[in-house]
Amino acid sequence: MSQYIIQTEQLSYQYSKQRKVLDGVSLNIPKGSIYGFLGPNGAGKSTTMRLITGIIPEQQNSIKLFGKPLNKQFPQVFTKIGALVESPALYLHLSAFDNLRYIAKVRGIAESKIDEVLALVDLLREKKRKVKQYSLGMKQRLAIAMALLGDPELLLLDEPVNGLDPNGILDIRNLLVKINKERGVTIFVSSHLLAEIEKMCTHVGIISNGKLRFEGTMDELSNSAQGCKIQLTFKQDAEVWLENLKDKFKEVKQIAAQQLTIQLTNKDEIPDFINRLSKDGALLYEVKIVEGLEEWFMNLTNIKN
Amino acid sequence: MVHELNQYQKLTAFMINNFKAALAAEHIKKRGTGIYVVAAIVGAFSPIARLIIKIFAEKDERAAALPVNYFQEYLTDCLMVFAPFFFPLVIIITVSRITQLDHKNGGWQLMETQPLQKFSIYFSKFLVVLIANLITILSLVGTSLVCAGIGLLMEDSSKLDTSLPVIYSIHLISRLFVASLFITALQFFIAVLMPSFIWSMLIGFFLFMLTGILKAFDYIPDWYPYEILNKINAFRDGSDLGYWFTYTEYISLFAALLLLFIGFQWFKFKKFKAAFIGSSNRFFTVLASVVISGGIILYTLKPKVMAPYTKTVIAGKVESDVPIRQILLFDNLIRDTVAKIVVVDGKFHYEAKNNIVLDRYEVEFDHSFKQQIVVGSNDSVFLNVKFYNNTPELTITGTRLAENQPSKQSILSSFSRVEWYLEDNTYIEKPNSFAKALYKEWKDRTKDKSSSKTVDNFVPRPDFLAIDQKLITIKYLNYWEKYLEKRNGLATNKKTNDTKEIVILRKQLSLTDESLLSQNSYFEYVQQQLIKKDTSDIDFNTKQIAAISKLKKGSFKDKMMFWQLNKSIQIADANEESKQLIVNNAQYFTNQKYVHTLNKRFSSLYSLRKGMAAPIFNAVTLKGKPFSLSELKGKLTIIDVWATWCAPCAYQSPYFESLAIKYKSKPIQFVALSVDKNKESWFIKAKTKSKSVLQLHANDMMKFFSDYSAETIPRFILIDENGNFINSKMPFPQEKTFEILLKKALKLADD
Repeated sequence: MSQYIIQTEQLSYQYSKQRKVLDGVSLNIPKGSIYGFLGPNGAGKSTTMRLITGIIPEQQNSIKLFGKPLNKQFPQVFTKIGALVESPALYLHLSAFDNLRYIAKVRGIAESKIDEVLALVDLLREKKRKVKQYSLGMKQRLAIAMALLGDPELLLLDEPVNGLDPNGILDIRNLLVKINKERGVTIFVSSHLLAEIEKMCTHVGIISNGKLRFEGTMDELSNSAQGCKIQLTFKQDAEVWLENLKDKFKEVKQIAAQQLTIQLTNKDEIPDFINRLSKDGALLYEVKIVEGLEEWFMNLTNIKN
Repeated sequence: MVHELNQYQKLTAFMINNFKAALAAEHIKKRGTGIYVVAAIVGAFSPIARLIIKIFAEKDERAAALPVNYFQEYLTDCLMVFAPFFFPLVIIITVSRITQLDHKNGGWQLMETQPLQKFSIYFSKFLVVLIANLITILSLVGTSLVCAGIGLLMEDSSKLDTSLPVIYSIHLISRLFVASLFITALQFFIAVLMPSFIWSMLIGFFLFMLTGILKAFDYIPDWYPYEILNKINAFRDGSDLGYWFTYTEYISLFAALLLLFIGFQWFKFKKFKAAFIGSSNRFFTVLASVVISGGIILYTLKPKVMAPYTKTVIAGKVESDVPIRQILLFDNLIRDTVAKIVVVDGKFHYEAKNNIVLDRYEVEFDHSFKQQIVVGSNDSVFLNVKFYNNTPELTITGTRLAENQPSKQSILSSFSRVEWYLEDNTYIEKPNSFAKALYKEWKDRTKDKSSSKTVDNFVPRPDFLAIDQKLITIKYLNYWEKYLEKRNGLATNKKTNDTKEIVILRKQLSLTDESLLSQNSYFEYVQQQLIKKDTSDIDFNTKQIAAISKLKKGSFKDKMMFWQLNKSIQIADANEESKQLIVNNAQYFTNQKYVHTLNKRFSSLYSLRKGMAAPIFNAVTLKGKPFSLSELKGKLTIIDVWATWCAPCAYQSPYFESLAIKYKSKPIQFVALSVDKNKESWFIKAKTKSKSVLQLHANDMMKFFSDYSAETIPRFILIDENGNFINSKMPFPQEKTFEILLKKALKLADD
């Protein structure tokens, strides 16, 4: 029981009688994990996030945090949670330091802790500047710093890399991994792009149209994805290789004079496969994944109900 | 039990700490917004503007009047713009800014994901607004006192009370604070609910502007939040009955509590449905709160009436710079003395043994000044009298509190559309339309009972209102009579009949209602009705007397006859004919005291006729020498009767003096006779006047007033060489006829 920090049991939510935004979603977020909560826009991610933070009241008592029903724990539960819901909530007219001072006051934390988190998100030198002048990435980092200020056991982050440039995404990603490793903070992070977070997550939950489509570890995810389809472009005639490969692999197809597609079990097989093919004398221009985890994810989330 | 108590204490301590943290955090959040600074500046604005006006624009000398506290006066002067304008303005702005801090930056969600109770979030923000309000008020009072201190350097402070009004200031601060609660809670309620800056401001300003519009239509309810602040300005001294807060301020408090409860509930549960009908428990809590506070508000709003007393008492206290020993109560018809009250050590207490008809009476304070009061049997009224520098102030409390309000807008004198139609001849061809308009306005006016409501929500008692209603009916029936007169003037030959509306009005009014006989308008109405059928071609007054003489014997007839004859002798200017009129009609009176009064009035008018000896008066000169009118025998004399406190006198005086200089060489003596109670103020003023005018101060002004029937001043009297009147009531010297009459007396040719 207690190894799950967040648990929802058949969580449902509807804004109106006709439309169920969430339908029987059961999440289990293990302690110490970085849990990626994936789904396209409008799948119900934000609603779930808002329900878990109590910003919208739940309609049944199906959420448990730290092993206890959520609705019995307000507002004290937030001493153990740092939350960043939707766009970063910052007071733009204040400096970063004052924003953190505000949180420190609310949470009863010593102001000496402020520089510590500012250093962690690499904003120490900018702390006196008005947040108004910050870039989006800096704002995002400050918001995370605010969420981290109370030394939380759980960090809830809704689309923390949304709208950031690749460097910004990388910064946040590294930061989260660091926090998770160094402080043992459980992180529940939502995103609509698998690629954004797959590199840092230990666990994944996938939601689409209000229903949970998948939940498990990254390995389980890779296994679930039904194989990996690659496309090969040869210097030579592809027909030669078609014959060669047809016996060893499933679904080998020629799609052009010099092109073949082959189904592998997963993408980890690709390096070995290319190696062997080269040894056999194949001259390859290009190897491309045409149906991988991403494609599988896309397919999964496109299911209508 | 002990355990539970600890639980409770723990919870309370937790809530308090949580709230404190939220409040401290709010103060970090509002850094750099200058909300408190703006509050202080807006509060200081009116006192500073007042000071600037005082320095650059105020040239007038302070008129001698009741002693006032200089600081208090300054402070209340500032209320005029502060209470109805600046204060609501700053509240709307503060509330919008405080709530926008979180609307703009997603702060509400941020706060909700912190270990803060919703209560702490909602009310810590509200408390910041209240602190801003308090800063505004304190800034107003503080700056007023400082600015008044600066202004004092420009004043002659010897005549002023310059003690700091500490109690008054505290009272005012607390009243303003409580009166602002409703607007603040309302604005907060709107601004938290609406994320849009524009909308919450617009609604705030709309409600604010609506005050002016509603006021223009005289349709502003007592509970209207902005009106509650207006009332502080309207009733600067607060309750008549000595309560710390007035009823509208209590309404502000209860309405604010209710709004805060609803607003918080809504904020806590986000959606209207969830907040109010989400669960039966919640629904009944909300319902109970609305019913209870709504009930309290409705109860507070309900106008109250004073209960009658077991005895009839007129009591009070007098503060004055001249001794006042006696108070007389006169009826308004024949000026009969209804009560004679002795003042001992500035206090009086009179218990009437006889029946006093509920009516307006004139109270005269030792010949110093007169006022009208409403009193009747089984009333206990308390008169608080102040009389300094010839300026009276009378406040009346007791069982006729509301009846004696210095009515700000009497129904009887308020603008009438019907009167305008009448003047404009709008409906002169359409009697039905006119009657309908008249009936509608009459109905509206008789329904309106709010105008004489006191600051403590007391309204006149039904007996008095009944009289008031009759007066309104009379007013509208008299409009009808005037309309008929106008129609008769048209050459239509057609008789205009009463419409069914007019018949309804007529039925409201008895033609023999003695309780209305102190009212001229009622006499006029009855008079019209009495002679309506008399088409004989004789003069109006004669017709009247003939009609009254036919009435049933009794006090109604007496009073009607008295009123008519009194009017006749005034018009006839006390000639033999009018003397005969009294003699001829004396037989119709049941009570001969009316005949006696008429005779007295006639002889006093008669004694002032041309050729009658001017009564001798005694006076002193500027040098302090005694002087008698008889010393001026052999000289044509023109007298200006005046007093230092009388503004119209001061206006006429230069005209009088310039004539004195013009006719310096002619055989005429110009005299200025002062009837000031305060001889010293006369001396100071009279010394500066022209030497061509003989300056005198009357020894016994009351005797002078009665001898010369002087009811008003200024008064100009022309006396011939033999000491007889040429004209006892001259026109004012400003007018051309004054000089013409002088020239005629001097036998000079007109140029």
